Amino acid sequence: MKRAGKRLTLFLVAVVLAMTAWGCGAKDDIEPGATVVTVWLRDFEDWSNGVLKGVMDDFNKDKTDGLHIVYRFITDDSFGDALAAAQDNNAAPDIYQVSYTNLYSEVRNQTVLPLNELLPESAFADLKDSAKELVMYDNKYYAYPQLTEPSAVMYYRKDLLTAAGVDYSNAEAWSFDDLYAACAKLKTTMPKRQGKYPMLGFDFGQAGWATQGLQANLTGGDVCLTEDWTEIIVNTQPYKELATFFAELYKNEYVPAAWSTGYNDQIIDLCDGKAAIVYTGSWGIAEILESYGWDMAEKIGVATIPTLTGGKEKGTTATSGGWSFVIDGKSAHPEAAAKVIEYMAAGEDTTAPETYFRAAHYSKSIPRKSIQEKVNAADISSACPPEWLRVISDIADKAIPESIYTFDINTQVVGLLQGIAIDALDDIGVETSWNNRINGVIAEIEKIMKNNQLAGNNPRLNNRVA
Amino acid sequence: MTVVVVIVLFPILWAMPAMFKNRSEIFELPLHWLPHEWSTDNFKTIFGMDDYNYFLSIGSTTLVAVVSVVLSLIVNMMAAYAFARIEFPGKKFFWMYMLSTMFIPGITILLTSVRVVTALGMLDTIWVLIVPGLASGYNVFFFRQYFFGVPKYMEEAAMIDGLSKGGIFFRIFTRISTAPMVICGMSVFMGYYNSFLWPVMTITKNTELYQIMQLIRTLNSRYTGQYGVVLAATLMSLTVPFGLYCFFQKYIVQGISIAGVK
Amino acid sequence: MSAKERATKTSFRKKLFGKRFFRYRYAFTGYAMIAPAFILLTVFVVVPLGMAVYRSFFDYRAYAAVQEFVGLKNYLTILRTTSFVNSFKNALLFAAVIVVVQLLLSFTFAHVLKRCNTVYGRIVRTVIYVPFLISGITASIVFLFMTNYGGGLINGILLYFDADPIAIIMDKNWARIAVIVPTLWLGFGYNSLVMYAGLLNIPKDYYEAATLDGAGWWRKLIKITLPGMTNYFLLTIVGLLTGALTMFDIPFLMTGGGPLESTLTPVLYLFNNYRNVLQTSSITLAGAILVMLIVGALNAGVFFGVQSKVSDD
Repeated sequence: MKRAGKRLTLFLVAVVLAMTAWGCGAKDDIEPGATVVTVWLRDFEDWSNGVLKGVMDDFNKDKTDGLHIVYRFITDDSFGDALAAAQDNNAAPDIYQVSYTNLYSEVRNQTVLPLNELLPESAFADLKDSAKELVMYDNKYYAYPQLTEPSAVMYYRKDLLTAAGVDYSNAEAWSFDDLYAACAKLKTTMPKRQGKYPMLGFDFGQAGWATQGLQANLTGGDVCLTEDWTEIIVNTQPYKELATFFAELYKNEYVPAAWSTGYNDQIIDLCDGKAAIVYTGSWGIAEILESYGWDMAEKIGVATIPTLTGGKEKGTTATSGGWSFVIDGKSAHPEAAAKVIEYMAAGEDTTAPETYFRAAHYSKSIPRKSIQEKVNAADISSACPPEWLRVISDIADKAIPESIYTFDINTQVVGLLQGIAIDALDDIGVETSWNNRINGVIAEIEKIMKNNQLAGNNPRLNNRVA
Repeated sequence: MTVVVVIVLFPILWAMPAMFKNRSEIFELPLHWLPHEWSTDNFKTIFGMDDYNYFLSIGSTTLVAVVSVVLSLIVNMMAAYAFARIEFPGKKFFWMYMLSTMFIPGITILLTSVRVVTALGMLDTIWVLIVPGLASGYNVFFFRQYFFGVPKYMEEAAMIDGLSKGGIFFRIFTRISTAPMVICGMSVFMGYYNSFLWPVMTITKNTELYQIMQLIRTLNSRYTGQYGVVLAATLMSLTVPFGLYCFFQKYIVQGISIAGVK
Repeated sequence: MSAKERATKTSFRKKLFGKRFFRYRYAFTGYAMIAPAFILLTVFVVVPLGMAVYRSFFDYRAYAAVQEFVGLKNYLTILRTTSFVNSFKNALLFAAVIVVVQLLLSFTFAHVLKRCNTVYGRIVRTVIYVPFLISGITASIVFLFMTNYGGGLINGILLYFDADPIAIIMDKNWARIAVIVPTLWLGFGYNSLVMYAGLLNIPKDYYEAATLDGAGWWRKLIKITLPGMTNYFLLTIVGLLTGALTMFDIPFLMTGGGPLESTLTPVLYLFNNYRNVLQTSSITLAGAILVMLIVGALNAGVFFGVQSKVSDD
């Protein structure tokens, strides 16, 4: 008995010692005296993570620059928690990724540094105007754009549409009615008994930002609020049209009532033949070519999403979302961090962005003029079908920035749309459903605006005045 | 009774073969339980991740959980013994103090706990995963109730033999408490094995300390369209608790009857 | 330890505690034994709680130069937040359903288990514990697999018979069922075994005597079984109640709190809002403290009630 006790103690001591050694073990071969720059990035597609890791590993190969990157990829659903905890404890990374939507709140909370002094002026001069607008507040640049991407694009399977007798030659100009007609035909060839559906639209988890392009298309430019943030426009006719669109799709079972794949990944179901038409962002292109290859690409068409009136000139149908690099407000060595951002995105002769956009099959929009020129001059048809590129760049040119008011407003709009879709499934008409719900939604949005003192405070307008 | 057993096991049994279904087959209709084509794609995806190592994760999570179970049993049982058998001034105060910590939900102290472990320099070490969850008002309570039920004469005999109070606890009480130790140990183990949010917030650099639920959640968001991958990773992770259960199961039903007396 | 040493030590203690020496003769051992648990709980639970409470009175922003004291404003804000208030209503509904259904199921099944004392019975007792080894995350993944709209088990069967498939996230009743069923499934075995243990603890003679008196099963249930198991019932209720009020991972993964917040629980609400970067986390903290107060108050009532009863026994 005594011996057993001793053995247990010995074992525990051994384990504890081993673990201590493990916990403290140094792993990276950091050059002596180097400044360590920590970088936190979102965990996205394998190819994307792969390219970024490659870029940073290359950076670390240079042992004479006195800089070393330590990076970490965190999934999107825990990124916010990890960052909040880290910033709360002065343990934040030097550099992290921020979406254009959230940048403004970071600026307001003083969690990011202005970059004007840290990066060379030429780096900002090289940005396209549309990209500048995304990262500038009070005439200062708070982030350097990594990429932008149109948030809503329609993809369709040519073979499946042909099989259902749908003519897709004019898909680019489709209106809602054209889409309904196509879906009605597809219902016979894509029966739900086989787990197939004509289309996958905006899912309610992501509709808050994904539908903003369509909202702007219907209203003629504004999203949820008037441009100066004084009035709520959610109770106007365009939003009723949007609600009707959702009600039609759900009522007629053109889209499944629920689906396990989210908006960002619906391209998978298109390639697997579970749906003939899907909406997703431009990143779908990279996914097709990376995971399914060119054989699949030949079967797929890419077009602007259908609008109420249709036609060749649709105007805005998407927002330009995407990611930018910021330097943490309490970074101990912002100059070193700026050097890393130069290497990864902003530098005059860095090759990292080109490598990235090529690996992305040019499915993302390039924020820098000089890189865009280089790409334009090169033959990139081996990376992506030229027809797709034309459509994507057309959508990107007309895209508007994602909203920056409190996201809760979008959540309210999604609630309205989902409520109307649920009612449609229960055979309650749009008119009745709208009347039942709209006042509650408006009241909630008013409350949000009041709590956050939004009225009349759109910071993007401040830039233009100055 | 058979019906109940079937219902209880059914979800897992139904999901099991889906590990071997490839992406297009997993939700294929009409329904079929076994895959038409046995595919190992899901496992290739899981083991092929270059930044996460599945087995290392299972290993480090199990190590963390096992060490925590041992330490937590020692800490909580010692306190429980003191509360059950030793008189000391302020006992009532200490008892209420420990008991009241039971009612504090983790979410309330999540952010500020990170602050405490950061101040203690524990961030990114294995200790941050182990130490903060060791003491538990509930487990102290659980063992105290059990110790109340132990007849006093056993101790009296031991004291005549010259054992101190501490000696009695280590020599006698730890040996007669196998069943409650197993049942409490099992639930402590499950708590550590399934922890997710805490490791995400406190392990920022040491990839070999990534816990298994962290890895599963990463898979879940990285391969949202591939249900089989997530299922396979999840079901494989059950092997450790199931294995432990098979090993200890005879104590568990016995232990629960004690848990009931609480 | 030599006899002399021991004597010195004893006299020192005698001095310290005076007349109560005998009663408190092992006090040092006692303190030493509770010390680790006491220190750990203080450092990792009480101190963070204190910090959280303190912070909830400020408009806390990690990187601001000065933290503004706002008193109870954060509490008022969270109490006026529609989603947070709704989440409590949902939690109470879940708690009511789960407590009642789980009690009935496990109590009934415990009787079945009691009747079956064969090898088969032992196997059953071993097997039904199994879901207890499964985390909420895993259970959700398995149930999501079964309830998948396009080709899960349930809809597969419905579609085979040309019935309409069920979209759990587009119907608030189905969504609530989809959250409740996995929760019941996870706890059923464990609670049955607890009830079973309770049944075994009631002396057999009581029943035999009652049978001699000609009492029917109903009378036995009311007069013997239920009174004999009060503690088991109360403790199970405490466990189920706390579990239901602090439900998180199952609604998070099964429904995300939807549709239209019909399965949003308080903890899920708080979790979602810790990363709402626009508002100060102090508002969320204030909400978290309210959750703690409510759960704590509900439990403390039941719990200390039971405890005093147990000590009386």
